[in-house]
Amino acid sequence: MTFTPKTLLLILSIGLSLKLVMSGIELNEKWDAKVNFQKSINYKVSDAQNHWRELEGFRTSWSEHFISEEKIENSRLNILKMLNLNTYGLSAIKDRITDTETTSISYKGENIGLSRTCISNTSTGFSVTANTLPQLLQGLNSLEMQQGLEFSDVVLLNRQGVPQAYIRDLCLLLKTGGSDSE
Amino acid sequence: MKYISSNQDQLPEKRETSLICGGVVATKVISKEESPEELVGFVTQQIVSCGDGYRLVTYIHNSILEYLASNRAYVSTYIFHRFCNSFIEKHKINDKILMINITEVETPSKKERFAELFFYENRKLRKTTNIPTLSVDPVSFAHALKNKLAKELSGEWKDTNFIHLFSNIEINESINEIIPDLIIESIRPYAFSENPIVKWYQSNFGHLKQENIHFKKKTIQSQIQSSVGAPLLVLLFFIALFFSLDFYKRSQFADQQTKFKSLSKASSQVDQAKLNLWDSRRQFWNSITDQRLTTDTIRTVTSAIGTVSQQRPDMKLILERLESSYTKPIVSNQESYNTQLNIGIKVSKIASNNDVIESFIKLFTGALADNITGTVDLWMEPTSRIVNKEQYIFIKLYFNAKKDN
Repeated sequence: MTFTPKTLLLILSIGLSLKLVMSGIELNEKWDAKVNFQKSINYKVSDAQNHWRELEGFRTSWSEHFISEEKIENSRLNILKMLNLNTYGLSAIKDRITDTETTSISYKGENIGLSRTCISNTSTGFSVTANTLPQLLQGLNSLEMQQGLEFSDVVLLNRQGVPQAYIRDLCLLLKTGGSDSE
Repeated sequence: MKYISSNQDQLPEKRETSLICGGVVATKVISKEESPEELVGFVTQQIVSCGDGYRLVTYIHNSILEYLASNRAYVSTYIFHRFCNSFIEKHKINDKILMINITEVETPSKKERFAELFFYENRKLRKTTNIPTLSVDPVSFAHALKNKLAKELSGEWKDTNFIHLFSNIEINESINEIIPDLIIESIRPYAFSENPIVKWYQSNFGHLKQENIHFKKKTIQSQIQSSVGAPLLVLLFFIALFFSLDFYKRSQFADQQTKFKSLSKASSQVDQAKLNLWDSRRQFWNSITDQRLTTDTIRTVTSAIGTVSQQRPDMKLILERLESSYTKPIVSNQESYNTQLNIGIKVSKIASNNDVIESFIKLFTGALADNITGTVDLWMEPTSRIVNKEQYIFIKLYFNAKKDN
């Protein structure tokens, strides 16, 4: 069986055309993969940048809300000053902190650059008093709302007209690690 | 008279007319159902020239149009002249030049050739002539052309420097042996797009109507079908498609890379670890700010006790002890309570009967309901007993203070 040059050219053209189609499909897939990969990276970068910008307000609030450990200078007197008890009409039963306990705060297993320093001036916690029961409650309320301060268990005693409050777990939340955590 | 092309506004004032002859190919359309009939004829045309500017007005006598039965005539002379003008202007040829156009016309009945000869000097048409019938035989054709040229290139045209020949047919190269000074511009088999004259015409005036050159179209089709053009065209199409795809995808990728660069340039890349840290901080923040204030609830409760005390001063109520503590969540009526308030209220002996205690509970509950704001849920377990000969009401309240961390 012999082929004329024209037939051979026709077969060759068809073969090459098929090869080009196959190569085109491969090329398309290869580039699609590359383009999609780059797209996903772009999306991640863009998304991360948007997210970071979205967090900008919160980052400012965070840095303003919590005091840095460095400011406390590891001084119990400074911690006491920070409580601003007098401002809230409260006074500590004992004007000195007898015990402090500092732990690092983790949230869902991650260190978030905060520490919790719990203080006490009695064996049952931190005790404060006020002239009247409403004044004591108001003071406690203000104390609880103070930034970077937390407590949960409270015992109020109002015997012989002397209101007292024992806060079992009065703790300060302080920023750790300096500016690198910002 | 019917003008094929003219510009009435630019018609020159001074006219010099001369007659030229050209081949005319036309299609006679009889009716839609019938095949078009091809007609070939010769037409005498007038060239109008004036001053320095050259204008060509070509028209065909109505009698010839009637003979052709169509006004869609393709007048090769006119097109050839326009082409020559353009060619000479483009190459700035001031010398004497002879432009020859050979056209072969084939109809079912006969095949013949005719030649148009245009003489130019200083970029102006000086003389035109034509050879109406030439032999199809290559040798006879070449000799006839040579004789015609010998005749025409005498006298003032003896020193013609350039002779260009255009043709819609393949001219045997032996013509150069017979007429050695000839510059043959198109010796390949006629192809519509390769003909310099037609190509030029198309680029300047758009495509010629196919009906007008119907006999040529048939020739082209048969050439393509009988040659290797089709598979090559398909192959070329796929090659073009392949490279176009490659180019398109490359540019797509480049776009994405540019976008990435601009994103990176716009602001420094955000460290994912840093982002995760701040996300955790935000969640922690939400968890501590979501929690209800314990002291708020304590104040609500003490305020309710104060209200009852004012309503029933005879009870001489004294809040002696209030203890707030977190408990393991207790679920009641599908509500979870995680904070416990233990309250010890001393009641005067006068009021220490069960009815009064019940009355206190009723008043206290009412006052509490009045004072509770927001969504604080309370759950109460009141009891009363005597401690150290004093009557006490003990209330255990559970409320929901959200504190998960």
